[in-house]
Amino acid sequence: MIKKLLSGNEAVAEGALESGVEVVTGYPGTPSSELIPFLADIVKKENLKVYVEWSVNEKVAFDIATAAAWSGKRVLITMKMAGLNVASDTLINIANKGVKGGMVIYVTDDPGTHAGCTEQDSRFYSLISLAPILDPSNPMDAKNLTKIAFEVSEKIQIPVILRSTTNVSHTMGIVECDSYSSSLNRFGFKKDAQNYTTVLADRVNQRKLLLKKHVEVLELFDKFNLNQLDIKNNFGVIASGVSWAYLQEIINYFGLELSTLKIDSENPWPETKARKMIQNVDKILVLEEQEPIVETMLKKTMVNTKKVIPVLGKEDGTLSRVGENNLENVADALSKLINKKLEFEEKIQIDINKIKSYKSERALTFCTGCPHRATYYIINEAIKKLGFKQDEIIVTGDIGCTSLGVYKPLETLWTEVTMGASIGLAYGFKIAGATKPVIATLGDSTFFHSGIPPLINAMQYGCDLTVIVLDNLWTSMTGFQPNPNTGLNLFGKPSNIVSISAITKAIGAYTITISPYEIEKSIDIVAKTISKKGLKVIISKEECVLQKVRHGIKNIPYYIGQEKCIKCGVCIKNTSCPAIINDNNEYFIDKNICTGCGICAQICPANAIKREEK
Amino acid sequence: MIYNFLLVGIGGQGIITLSKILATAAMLKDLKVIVTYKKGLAQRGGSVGAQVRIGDVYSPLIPKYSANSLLSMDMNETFGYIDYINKDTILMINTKIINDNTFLSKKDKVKKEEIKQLQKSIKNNIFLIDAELKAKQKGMDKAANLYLFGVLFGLDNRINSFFTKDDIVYSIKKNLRKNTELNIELFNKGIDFIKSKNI
Repeated sequence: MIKKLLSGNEAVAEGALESGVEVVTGYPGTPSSELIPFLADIVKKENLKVYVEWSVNEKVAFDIATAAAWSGKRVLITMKMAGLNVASDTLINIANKGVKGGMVIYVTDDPGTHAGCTEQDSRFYSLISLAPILDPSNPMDAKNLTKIAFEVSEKIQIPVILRSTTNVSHTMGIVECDSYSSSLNRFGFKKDAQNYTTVLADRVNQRKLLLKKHVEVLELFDKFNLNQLDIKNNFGVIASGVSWAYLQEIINYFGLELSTLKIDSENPWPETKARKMIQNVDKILVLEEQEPIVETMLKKTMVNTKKVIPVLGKEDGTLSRVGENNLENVADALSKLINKKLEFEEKIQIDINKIKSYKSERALTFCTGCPHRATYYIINEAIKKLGFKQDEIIVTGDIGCTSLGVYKPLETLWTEVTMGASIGLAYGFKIAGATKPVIATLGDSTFFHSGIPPLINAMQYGCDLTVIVLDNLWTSMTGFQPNPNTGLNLFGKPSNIVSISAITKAIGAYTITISPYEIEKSIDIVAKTISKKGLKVIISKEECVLQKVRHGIKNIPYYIGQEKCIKCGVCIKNTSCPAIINDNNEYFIDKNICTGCGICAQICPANAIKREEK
Repeated sequence: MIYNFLLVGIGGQGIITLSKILATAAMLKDLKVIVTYKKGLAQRGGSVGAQVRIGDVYSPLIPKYSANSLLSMDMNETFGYIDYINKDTILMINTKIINDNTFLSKKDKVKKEEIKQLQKSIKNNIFLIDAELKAKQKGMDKAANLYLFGVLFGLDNRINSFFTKDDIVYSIKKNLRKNTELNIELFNKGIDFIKSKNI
């Protein structure tokens, strides 16, 4: 046993390797993205026989892993909550058919929406699919529950969901680690169409079997000592996920005595332990993030036990259904339970709101030299060139770095919904009656993920639409993962390149490629392409500048010739490039961060911006 | 005993590296440690906050008014975390404000005045240090984080009760792949600076 400092994501990778996982697939999404690169690094260093890939989307990742699990391999699939929506079709089907090798689905929720997605409680996927769920409270817990998930999944032949949240996934703690398991299962998929097809299967019986498996899962969870109950007095607290960690801190800090039940699994629900808790206490506080799932289960158990006692939780407003828990709101809820004020430190005697107001908020913008900044500038200018105002032309946006086109000063985008939705929405606006041109924008990884079906749909019904793919070769927002367009796998080894233009041409769309750093030329091409009839695809191709810099490619920076500068500020106003400094109406370029994209030099009306001498 | 470090700044200023140096040092001393990050949406140039908790801790988050020290690499960012300080919190602030066209309003010029306001309204130990300058003198504009931490380390005896200077140096070596010696030198210069002040 050795101690390692690991994040929740890394701890799950560690647990999977200790469990002898053989196939790992996933699609990046905050806060889950760090798991796969961390695992791949170990696989490479230790020369383990584990297949790891970033798949094209979560459903494909799930399908691939399903076949491997049916072949007897242990598999892990990773994604964020929105990704499980994409993969849910397979999840629900597979839960009924069962697995052979252990299958763990790692999904991360983001209460408080730090990563900019809508809030979603993925525990509901356990209730709808009947795949059991485990809900870790810290990195050490995440590793242990991963191992239990594999054991239970393989033994009972049922997929298991491991649900984490931001403050578990992105928290680092000390994790006790064992050696990696190398007991590899032989490939063994046997024809059994009665089970592996849906048409031939006895679907009613499969459902009955699934419910029976739930009873067995709960028995195993008990054997693994999950859902621990500790009766001490008549104050009861039930907590799941990271809320358990807050509860432990508060119990320890204030020296409290409480009866506690730690919920490791909401489904199957530890009914017997919940009953014991109800029978032994007078009042129960439920601590969980997002939706009141534990609370609802508990109330159901109360009805079953015929003892109804007060429950503090989300339904009485003690805690919120929105945002994340923290020490303060958990301490307040506990104060309400035990009728004693719990406060960590005295509030400092200053006007906190006034001091907070001193802070200048930063607008989100593209990185210095980002080609997307140039592309959105080009789109805006092309719209003007066609005689339209910016707020006349609908431009739909999509997920990833390209979504930053909604912010000042570019403000190109009108919508941003889900992966690939930009094209379906743009088509929808046309059929709903938009008479002026409609433009859809999305990144390369998003295009591969979910952008192709709506493009085919638009082609089938002959829609006048311009789709602009901002192709920077990487899935950058989530940490520069390779995608089908990159030409590398996640070990940095060459992989086949799937050409976006070959796909769009095959669909039948007029396709043209521009270089976003060539501003004037590109404005011209974009304007002309928008004016054409039919379905058109413009690929704005330039590698992510951060990746280029990482690979040692840095163009020579620019400078502003002070004698020529007319101090109009156009360079900043139109780009908000972080490399350009306005110091009391004197404009400079910070050559340490300028990546030499040259956009400012091309848009400067005084021709004052020049490239530095070598 | 619990010690809560709050480390804040802008992406690229070494906040995450510093948190890892502290966490590694704690782990090597067999202390319990928890680190949590809050990062913005953007890849570069956004707010970054790290909470490093050492001792008998369970929660990834520091309670309000409970940071033992606030080390800020960007003066503007400091204000956003003010509800974590109490009357004993040490504020170690780099005077740098990352240039900003990305500020929503044009208030960046007045930051020093506002820091003075803050200094007036609390009786805390506030140190305003041009750590960037110290680092640049060594040709290392990216080691300002360790200079600033050196000053904090030299000042706060509570940190010394967890680990020695050598523990930190060892952890720097474990966490940094390049410019290790220069970073250690800047850490030491930070300590020397505060010791010479005889506080």
